[in-house]
Amino acid sequence: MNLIDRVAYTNRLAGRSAAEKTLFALGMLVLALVLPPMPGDVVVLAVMTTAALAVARVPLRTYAKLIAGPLFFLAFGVLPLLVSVGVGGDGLVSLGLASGGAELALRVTLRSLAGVSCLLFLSLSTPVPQILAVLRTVRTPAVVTEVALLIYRFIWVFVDTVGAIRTAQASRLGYRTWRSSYRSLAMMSATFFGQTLQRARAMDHGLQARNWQGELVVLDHRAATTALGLLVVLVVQAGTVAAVVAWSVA
Amino acid sequence: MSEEALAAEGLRFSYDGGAVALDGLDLVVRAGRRHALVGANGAGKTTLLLHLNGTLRPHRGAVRVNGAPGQYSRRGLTAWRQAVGLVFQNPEDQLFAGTVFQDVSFGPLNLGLSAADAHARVEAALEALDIAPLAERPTHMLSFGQKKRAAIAGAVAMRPDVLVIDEPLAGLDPSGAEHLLAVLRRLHEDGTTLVIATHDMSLAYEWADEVSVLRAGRVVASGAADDVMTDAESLRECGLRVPWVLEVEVALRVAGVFRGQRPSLRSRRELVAAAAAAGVSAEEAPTA
Repeated sequence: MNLIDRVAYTNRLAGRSAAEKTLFALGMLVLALVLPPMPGDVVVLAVMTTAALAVARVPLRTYAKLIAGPLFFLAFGVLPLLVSVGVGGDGLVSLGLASGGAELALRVTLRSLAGVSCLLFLSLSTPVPQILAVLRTVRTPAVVTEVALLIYRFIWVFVDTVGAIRTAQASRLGYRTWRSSYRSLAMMSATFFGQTLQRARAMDHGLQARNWQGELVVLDHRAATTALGLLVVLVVQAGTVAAVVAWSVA
Repeated sequence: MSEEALAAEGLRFSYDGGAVALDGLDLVVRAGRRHALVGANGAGKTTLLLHLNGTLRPHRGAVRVNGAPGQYSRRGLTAWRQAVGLVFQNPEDQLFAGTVFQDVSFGPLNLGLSAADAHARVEAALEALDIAPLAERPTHMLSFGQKKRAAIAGAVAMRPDVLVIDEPLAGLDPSGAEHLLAVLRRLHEDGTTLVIATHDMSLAYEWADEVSVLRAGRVVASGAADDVMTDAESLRECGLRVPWVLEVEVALRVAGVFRGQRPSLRSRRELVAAAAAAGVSAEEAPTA
């Protein structure tokens, strides 16, 4: 989370219009789902990783670390597709390669990876507040964007709080043994709950002091969406489709 | 005598089932002044501040804003909070938005200003707090001092008549503290009435025109800083001490280094300058 956030604010596309980046990522996501996995998703995957690594200049290590998580789940998810377990007429359990399993597994893998690459591009190139600003422009209900904003904001507050409590506990040897670790963790949860309520109340006072009217309105001081930017997005997306068609025909 | 900007009369308040936090508190803050509320921990400073902008409603007594009783209706509170800006001790309690710019824009937009006007207000506030370069910085990537200034900018952007700040210097390093004091000086010169709550006696002595001493939910002494801060005995009863600058000045007068009747030195800088002028150098400075 911390990692994603830092990259989102410092990557080379950070200053570009969030609408352009969102349009690009979501458009490519639609293509990834609509085009045939072979070669469609291969092309989408290639375009999106290039966009993230070469254009936004996300460090390779960061990217690898972040894609490792989904890959892990994918590996376990695909396994049942490859293998078929059957119970024969003689009551014996048989284990074998599922017919057509390999192809299905490949398709699932490609599609998932292509989809993940689209979302990774968006989350690594665009800070959350900017994404929320885009959501507001397209008239997402305020409740949704506000809750998302507060969650985002409070993740950082809570990370600090938990870190501070943990340090305080550890410096009094609260994590020396398994037993004490469990106890410390339980105490931390209890403390954290109380602190959360207190924080919420304080935040409520803080918002009231600035005349909160029930809506978290803010000015988005953001990069303008340009015709050129939109054109680039469309050209890349059209190019993706063209490449897929050309590949399929060849 | 200048007009009253903010006043409390006989405020009584206790938290749900808790002990009495305010116990018949009276206070007058005059327009254009720098007013310090001093008191030990638990004296009721923060509870009082929450009354001064209408967040908490007293069980008895009343708060007056610019001479008129504070209205707790929706409309009344809107006007009240425009007139009285409040900054909490912990900036984390106030910053909610993704970036500094967004956060500071919250108050002006709530006043119903147009985007263009709000934009101008935000830029002016960021300028006033010297944090214009941080506008696009995410709030969670700021240092504590920067968060503090962002929180104050959020209040300043609403252009309040009275700005109330809880422990303005707590947690700031010396240069950060000096910087913030300079900001407060500018706000004051621009005509904002300033109220701070603190238990930093040196700060109150150096900074304030007027001081009110809180003890157990009451104002037990109030007046010009020179009068209130020199009353060692009453201060001690309130769990407070005379500012060290004053203590040193008195000691030097007793030792015959300084002449004159009334204490007049408010800050470390003034004290050092006066000592140097009286011929005390660092080597021969009297030791306790």
